[in-house]
Amino acid sequence: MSLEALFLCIVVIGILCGLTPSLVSIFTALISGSLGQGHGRNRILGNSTSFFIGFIIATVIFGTAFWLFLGVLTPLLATYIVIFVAFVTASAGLVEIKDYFWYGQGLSHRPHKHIANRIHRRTTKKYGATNSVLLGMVALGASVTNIGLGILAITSLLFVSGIAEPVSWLVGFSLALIVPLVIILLAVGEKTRVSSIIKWKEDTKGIMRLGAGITLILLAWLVLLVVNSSVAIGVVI
Amino acid sequence: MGTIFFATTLQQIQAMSFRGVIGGAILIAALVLFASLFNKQKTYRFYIFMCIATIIAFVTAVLVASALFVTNNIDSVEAFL
Repeated sequence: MSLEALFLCIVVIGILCGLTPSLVSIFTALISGSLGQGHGRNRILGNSTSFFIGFIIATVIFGTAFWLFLGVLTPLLATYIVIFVAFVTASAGLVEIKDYFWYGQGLSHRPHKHIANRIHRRTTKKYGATNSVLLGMVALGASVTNIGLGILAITSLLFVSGIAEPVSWLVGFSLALIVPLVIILLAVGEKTRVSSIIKWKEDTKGIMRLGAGITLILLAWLVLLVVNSSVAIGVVI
Repeated sequence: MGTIFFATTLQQIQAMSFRGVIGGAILIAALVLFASLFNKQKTYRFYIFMCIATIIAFVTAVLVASALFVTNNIDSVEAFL
């Protein structure tokens, strides 16, 4: 697999992982909160950009920290951890697929109550650029069981592929993660009602979970295939 | 016995042989039938999900085992057993 193909894979994985109900809900809550305060188009654009910056910073820090953690371990232990991350990612993908059939029942991806309260406070009582940056960071914590695991798996993939510098790849991945949110922002800019976006999200959240679940599983399999030398990154056949 | 069956199936699948695929299919079917014992409401989506989940779990287990084999330089199932 060539590096260009790997980059394309990461972009597609990022877009599919970013299209999750939790992230869409948080972002629409931010926009509707701003609209409720009577903010103009520029203010909403500013808050959204701050949210994106916070989310990208949190993603890159999270991924780079995991990369550095793998780097200080012995190669054998690091490989064991990569295999474990791939296994957990595949399991989380299976839980996402379960949500397509039985949404929210039993074992499911839900943000912790403390994080949910914090998000509610930041979308209803606090407004401004700094708050939006922090909200972007908290949004990653709310979706850590799907997007967070995706970041860990992508970082593991980069690590076992022998890529020396992960930051630019993680920035690319986080930019791909926010593509669905940018499309929602453009739709709001084109006078689409937030309520219709929320209705669309409610109608399609099962399919979003299915897509994210399949993506996580395929990502985990790709990591395992690289570990067992079936796929070599950077080698064009 | 389960370990031997799983390991042999893994070896056959790695060799892309017909027997390995049949062995995997029999294992998946057995697991789905076992899971159907817990399907009290008799819904079709339960069977669909169980088929998907079992295939995913099986492939993931094979890949994890294969990755562990390569990591530990185990080049045959016999050496592992």
